[in-house]
Amino acid sequence: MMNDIDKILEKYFDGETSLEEEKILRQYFRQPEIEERHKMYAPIFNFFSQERKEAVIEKKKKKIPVYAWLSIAASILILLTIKSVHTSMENDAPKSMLYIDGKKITNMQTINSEALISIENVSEVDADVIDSQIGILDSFTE
Amino acid sequence: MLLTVTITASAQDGLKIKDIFDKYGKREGSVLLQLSSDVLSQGSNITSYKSLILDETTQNRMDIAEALKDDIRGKLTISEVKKDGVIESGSYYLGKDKTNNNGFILYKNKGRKITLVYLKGNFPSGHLDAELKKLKDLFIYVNNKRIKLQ
Repeated sequence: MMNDIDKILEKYFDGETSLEEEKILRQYFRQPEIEERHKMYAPIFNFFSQERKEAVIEKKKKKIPVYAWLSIAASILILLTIKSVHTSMENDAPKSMLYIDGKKITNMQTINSEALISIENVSEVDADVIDSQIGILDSFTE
Repeated sequence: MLLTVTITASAQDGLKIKDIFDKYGKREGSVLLQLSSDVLSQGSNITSYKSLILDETTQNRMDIAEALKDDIRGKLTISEVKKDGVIESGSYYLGKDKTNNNGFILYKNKGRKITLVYLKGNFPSGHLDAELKKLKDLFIYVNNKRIKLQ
């Protein structure tokens, strides 16, 4: 194995290694047990390994392109706008309220009974109307 | 078409009786009531109900009559009772507002008490009595059962 490494190293520095052989070298220098005579070469291969790692991290970082972030930001903005409009509409919707003699009444039972009085006032059939309608009907039947 | 809608909507917004609610609503002897659509929707198709009940004086009767006269000019009178030329009660249809709801003014002057109501609803003008009855039934039920409508 060690002789193999020596041979591959020799080929490496002559620029004759295959991809497979370079992989073997990288794996060898990544492990903790390296022959003393090889340690001087370790930084070269660890440097390349480190550079690969950084390249992978860089690649991962670039996975979300700018337009994706813009889309996310736009979506959040739309959601916030919808929520804001919804809240605004809710706030604009009239709430039940009652003022008696200028004083605000919050008791719901009082509000309900005053509501009934108001509705009765405007919805009851006026006795005068009935009388006048009976009068009209009578004039036809006479 | 758009112009007509805009004119109708702005006409609704500028009702004179709204000034009456503002002027007399919080005075001694007045009862100003507004019901939320959440409450109203539990028993009727009325979406907005605002009412003012006040003790009749010559001044407020004249003010209200003047506002009423302006607001109902050119509008549909559903029913009206006059005595010696003075309106005792009346129901008037104002047309649709910008949210396509029909607007109505109801007026009653009886026993020296004036009741003025401005309401809107999602129903034809011919259903006004039926909708008021439904609302009345709702509040009779609520009052009898002492339910707190929110």
